Amino acid sequence: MLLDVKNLRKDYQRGSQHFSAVNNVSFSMAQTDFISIMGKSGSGKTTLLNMIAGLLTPTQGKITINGTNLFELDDKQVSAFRNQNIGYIPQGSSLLPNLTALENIRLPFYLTKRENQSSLNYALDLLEKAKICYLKDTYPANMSGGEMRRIAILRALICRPQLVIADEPTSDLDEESSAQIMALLTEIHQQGTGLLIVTHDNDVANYSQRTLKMSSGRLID
Amino acid sequence: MKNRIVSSVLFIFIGALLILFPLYILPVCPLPDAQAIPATTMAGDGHMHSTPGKIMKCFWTARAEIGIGSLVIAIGALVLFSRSLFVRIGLSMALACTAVLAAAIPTILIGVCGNEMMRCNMGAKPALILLAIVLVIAAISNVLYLNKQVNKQIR
Amino acid sequence: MQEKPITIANLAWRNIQRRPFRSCCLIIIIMLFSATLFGGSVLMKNLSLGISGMANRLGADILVVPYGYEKNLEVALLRGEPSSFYLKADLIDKIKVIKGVKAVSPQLFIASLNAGCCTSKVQLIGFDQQSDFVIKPWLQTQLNQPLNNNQVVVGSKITANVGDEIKFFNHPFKVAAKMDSTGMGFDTSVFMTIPTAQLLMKEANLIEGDTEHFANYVSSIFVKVDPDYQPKDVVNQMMPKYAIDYNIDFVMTKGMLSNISKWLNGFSTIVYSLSAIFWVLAIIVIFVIFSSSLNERKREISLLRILGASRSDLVKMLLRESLIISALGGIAGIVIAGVLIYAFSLLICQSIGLPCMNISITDGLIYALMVFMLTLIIGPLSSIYSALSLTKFDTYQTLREGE
Repeated sequence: MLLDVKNLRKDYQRGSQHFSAVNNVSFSMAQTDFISIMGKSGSGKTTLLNMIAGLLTPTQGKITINGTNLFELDDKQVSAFRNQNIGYIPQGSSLLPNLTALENIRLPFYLTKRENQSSLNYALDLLEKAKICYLKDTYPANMSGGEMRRIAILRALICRPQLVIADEPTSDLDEESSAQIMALLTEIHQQGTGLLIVTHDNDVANYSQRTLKMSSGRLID
Repeated sequence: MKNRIVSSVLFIFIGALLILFPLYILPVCPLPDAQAIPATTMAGDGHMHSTPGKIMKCFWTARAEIGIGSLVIAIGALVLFSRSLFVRIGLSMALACTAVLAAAIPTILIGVCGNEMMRCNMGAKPALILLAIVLVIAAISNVLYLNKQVNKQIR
Repeated sequence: MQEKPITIANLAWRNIQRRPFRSCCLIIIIMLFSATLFGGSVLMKNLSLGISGMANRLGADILVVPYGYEKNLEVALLRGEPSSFYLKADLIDKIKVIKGVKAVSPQLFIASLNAGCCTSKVQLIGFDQQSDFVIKPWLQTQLNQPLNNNQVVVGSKITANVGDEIKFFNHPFKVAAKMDSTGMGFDTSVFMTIPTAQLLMKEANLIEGDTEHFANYVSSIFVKVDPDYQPKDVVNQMMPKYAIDYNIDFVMTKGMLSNISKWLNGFSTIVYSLSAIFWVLAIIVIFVIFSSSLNERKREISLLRILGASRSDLVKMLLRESLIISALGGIAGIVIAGVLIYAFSLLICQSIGLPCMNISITDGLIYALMVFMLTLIIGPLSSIYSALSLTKFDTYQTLREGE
């Protein structure tokens, strides 16, 4: 099992009231799976995603990725784990503005200590496969939304993760760009990476093998 | 646009200082009172008092720096009005050379009075040399910066 | 293409480059601090070196001058501004016999002709070689033979070397010896025998009236007091007997020196207070600017977190940014202050009017290093709070906020 989520719960306090953004969610995912989670905004999908990525600590529950229990790790270990095993594609524009596209892609590689390995060739490889080599020395300020999103996806791949998580990968994009993005993601899945995306768009969800529906913090069928 | 304004203002400012320093801010020795017989350069070594009426070397240094400062101001103004990167690179190179000249005047070419304790030696000379050094640094930095811009444009 | 790793260090440097105006302002503020502290302390060291040099080798404890000319003598000694004043020479023998007096030596001051600036201020001084204890300690090489009437000893700043010929009032003289740098007025003085000085006075008509009795006059009498006696006591013996008859006054070198020391202390208080103010100011300004700018960068920081940067990595990056800025400001300030003081050292010392000697390079480097260390502290100290608080927040919340 690549990903195993058990009884996950996240509570917040809004004013004087407690409410659960994620309430008793459980599901599993294999290495070969492509799963999408659908729901209206406010249903808790992003909170769920962030907990899986190790960015949020759940109030209750357990998350295991490739046998590692995320919450037994401290901050440094979780960060390293996330860096090496999970590729996260955040919502919206997520490139660092003062780095070129190529540098943005290579960035995650250097956030963990690695001995003497090089990221340059693989990064160029990725750019070629996605057919956007011409962007390599461009700064985000000079890129369109679709181009930035594609760079963000490639960035998620640089450390060769086993699981790629995407939060609303096609938000803010027009139809044509959306289709390109989903094609890219599908290809990534076909090459053996587990893919978990969150979306509120039906068309996008149709690309996946399995769709989980979420509402008010719970999974509904 | 920004580079043009910043660099030209800087150059013009330095040019103005080249003129003002030896004349007013840290002035060189004043002219003798008697009718000035414009003599050729006076050897400062050994003689402890001047014949009344002789003009000192430092006076000529100040005059020369008026000329050089004006040149620097003029070139600085040209930089302001030049849109072409290449023209600005050339002008900045010229400024660097002019700066070397500005430093050579109070040291090798004309010089100032020999005695260490005289005003020109204590004040105007080091000031001129420092201004020349600042100008060289500014000019060369501008050349390097503009060169980078050129390379960016080519790509 | 080069393989340049994009480390936390690079990111810090890039962040600084991205905001050139803001970074420059911060660097300038830090520069103010480091320039003030470095420049001020080097200047003070120069002054104190000059003064201790003077104190060590002045030799004389009491200086006897004509009444009212106390200031002139001080100024002639410290700054070399020449003047001429005279008192009766027979006082010398009278002083010799006072209890506690170890040595007495007269000097005759003549101001050189002031024709136009570039004669520059030269003090001609006649001294009695036999009894002298004031000039001797400063001579670079000792005179083998007594000066004859055509020879002079020149101060370190006179542009003539041993063996050269120089002219005064149309008299040629040969330079017999050159003095060490004293930091005092002696550097621009020329010393000759008293008879020669008197001859020059006569020929140049420097004194009106009784030119026949020059031999009876000197400008100042330098008195060395026996170490077992107090200079004050010797003065108290001289005063009642001779003060009125000879119309004289006394300058105690100790007093002169302690006045200067007091002034130096005042100056050092100013320098250090100003530096402390700049230091605190720098910390406050950087703190404010960093905190406000970090708020804009919340999204960037949370992105880095998402990509796998640990909290300590991020704190290190932010601290590194402020460290780089402090380092740049420190270096800039030290270099600028150092260059200015080196280039204008003579001008500065002249304007202050006190003796000063240039600090040695080793000492200068030590000062620079200490000031640099103090400057380095500023950056991290002022940004650590922002760095820690900013990396503490909930990543998710920040992402939502940034949407």
